[in-house]
Amino acid sequence: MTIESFDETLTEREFPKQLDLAQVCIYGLSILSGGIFLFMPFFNLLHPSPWQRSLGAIHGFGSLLATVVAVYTGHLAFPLLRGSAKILPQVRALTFWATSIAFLAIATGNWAYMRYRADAEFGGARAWLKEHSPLAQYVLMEYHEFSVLFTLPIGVACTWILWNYGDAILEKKHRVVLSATCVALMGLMFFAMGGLVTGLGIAKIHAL
Amino acid sequence: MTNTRSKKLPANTPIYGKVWETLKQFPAGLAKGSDKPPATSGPAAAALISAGIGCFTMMVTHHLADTSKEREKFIWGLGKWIPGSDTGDKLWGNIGSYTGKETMLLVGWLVSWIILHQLLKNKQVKTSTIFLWIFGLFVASTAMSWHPMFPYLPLV
Repeated sequence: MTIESFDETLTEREFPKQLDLAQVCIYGLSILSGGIFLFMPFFNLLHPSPWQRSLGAIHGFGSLLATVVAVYTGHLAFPLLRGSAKILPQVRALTFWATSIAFLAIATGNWAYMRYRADAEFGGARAWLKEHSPLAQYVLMEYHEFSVLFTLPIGVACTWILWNYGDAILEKKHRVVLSATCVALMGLMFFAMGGLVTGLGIAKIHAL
Repeated sequence: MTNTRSKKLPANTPIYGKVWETLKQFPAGLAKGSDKPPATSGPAAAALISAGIGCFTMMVTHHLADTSKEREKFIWGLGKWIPGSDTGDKLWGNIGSYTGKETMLLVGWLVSWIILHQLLKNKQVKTSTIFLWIFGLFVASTAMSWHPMFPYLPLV
């Protein structure tokens, strides 16, 4: 091969287009960052408390996943409110999944709450917090244990409305339905985030 | 009517892109939406307002339980069907009267949904009415997480 032909081969080879590179980068970074973020609750597996290793890891993962999906869905409520038709099918499906995973997070939360309420002599977190950091129990935990439950009826109502009204939800006569549903989806996102932050705060002060 | 049916992906879409697009529209039957939408806003209003009524019912129950031991015992009894409500094990703990409050959320929500749906299904409910009820019920429910008569009062 001559130098000229080698040079020609190099310059003629098609270089990936900028859009392709952007797509690979955005998917790559999303997968990587999402994976790292969702891995966080598994640090509980190294905790000295056996309840934190089991109940803490499961509830931590369930609630983090529920929040991620709820926040993704909640963010789609903004373009939907502006009338974006192409995202409607994925909003319907994602609202269903956000609600289903929120239910699982609540169910695993019930399980963790059992051990949280164990007697002081057995190292129960609630008893310890009431003694040493009462505001964590009476302000953070009171908000946490009730507000996370709000996500279930809101999610079921939004899933049902989005499916039942079909594509007609974007019509002018149903503007009120679209507005109320989008605001409710934002509420779902708000309560999921509030639940995650307060839950993490409590777990930071005392483990199960 | 606006066509929101899913379009075909470009041939050069990477495998993870195809997987994500499929996941975002699964289950397909749900993503497609109903072909027989209601003509009025009543069914949607009933669904959203009943969600708020359920949450408000739970918070009222919470206040009733936390201000009387006898009432708390009764409310706990309502939630005994939920696993872990009363384990009798001091090491594992129990969920306690919280299960009764969860039960009251379900009762308040589902019963009010059925009633409101029947009342509103053929009615056009105004935007202000829907928003007033949703905001009123959820703001009140959130604020009721903290009651001035609860035990942290001595701290202030």
